[in-house]
This record gives sequence, C-alpha cells and structure tokens, in this order.
Amino acid sequence: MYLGRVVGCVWATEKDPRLTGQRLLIVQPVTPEMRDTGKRMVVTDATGAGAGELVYWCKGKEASFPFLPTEVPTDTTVVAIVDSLHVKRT
Amino acid sequence: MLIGRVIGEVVATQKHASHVGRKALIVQPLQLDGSDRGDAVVALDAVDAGVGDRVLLVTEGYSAMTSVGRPQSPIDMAVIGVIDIVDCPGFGNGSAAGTGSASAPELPLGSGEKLGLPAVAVEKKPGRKSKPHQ
Repeated sequence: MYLGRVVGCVWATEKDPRLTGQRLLIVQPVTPEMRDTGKRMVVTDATGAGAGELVYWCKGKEASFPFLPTEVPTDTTVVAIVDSLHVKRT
Repeated sequence: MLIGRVIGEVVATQKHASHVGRKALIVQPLQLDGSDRGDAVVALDAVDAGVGDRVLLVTEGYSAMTSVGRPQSPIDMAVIGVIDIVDCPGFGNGSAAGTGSASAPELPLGSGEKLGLPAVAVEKKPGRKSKPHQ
C-alpha cells in the first residue's frame, strides 16, 4: 500500500454500471515526510475519505476486493484513513 | 520480494475490516548496497516486526494476503520475515541503513563469519511466530 493525500473528487455519469455508487477520489501520493511524490491519480474509495485527508491506498486486482461480490473495475482503492504516522529513520 | 527497513508505523481507525488487528508498518525498500530504493510503502505485518528491523517485503497481492491470513482482501504488501543476516558483498550489515559502501571487502559467498557477525544461535522472540487469523 502507498500513502496519499486526497485532493479532490471526480464525477462521471456515463460509466461502467459496476462503478455506480462508487466515489472516485483524486489522490496525490506522498512520502512519510509529507512531500508529494509522483503523479496524482483517480482511485475508488472503500472508506469514506474526503478532500485533505491522509490515506493509504492499494494497487492491483486487490483494489476491487473491498466491493465484493460486485466486481468493480478498479485498479486503485483507498483502504484506510490515516490518523497519525510515527516515522523514525535511523 | 524486496529487502526493506521498517521506519515507522501507521495509525488508522477507519480502515477496511481485513486490516483490523494487523500492524501497518512504513517500510523503506532497500537496494542491495543498502541504500534507499524508491519511496517508502505501507505494508501489513505478518511476523511481528518493529521499527528498525530489516525485513522481507512482498509486493504482490496473493502472497501478501495469504501471509497475513486474509484472503480476498485489499492487501498488496506485507512484511513476511525479519532478516538476521544478508550475506552479500557490499551490503551493509550494520544497524543503520546505507552503511554499505564501495569500499566493502570483496568476500566470497558463504563467508558471513568473516564480517565479524556473532556466531550465536538466534533466539526466537516470543510472539514472533506467525499467528493464523482466528
């Protein structure tokens, strides 16, 4: 999983029917030091995260598992909202 | 499968049910010379690893899900082992990441003792064995 910050939302009317009811978020990947890294992307949401929140998201086929038995066509999903980080680089 | 160093922990209350009861660790993947390999990632813990440990990290869904005992769940990375020794010329075996250097002695494989590592048997920490879920 990767850390990210939610920066926005996407609305789409015409889409795969299995995406109906799914929230689509725009996530900026960040490092544990809160620096932006990489490009922003659209992810589905399994937690109810909103703009500005720090989250972690997972990638690949696993991203559709929170929505089973519906097989949602997604490859990235927010799976947790981060309360706090404790980082200690030696 | 990658070598990484645990550099932190994540606290999350609102998370997918399959992540409940497992530590979420921040792991910095390492290159074979001991330097950082890309950005740090979040991985679930299957072996009771802690901050500072050098660990084995799987970065693919099936192996990650099954190692933490939660099949069919959104888990794509897991810590599946705590590394005691890496026997590879140039890899820093010290406590700090990035101690490997070009000046490391050229040693043949299988010469871990020559690196000055203790020859004691590694005692298994209580609770370090993997616990199957439920």
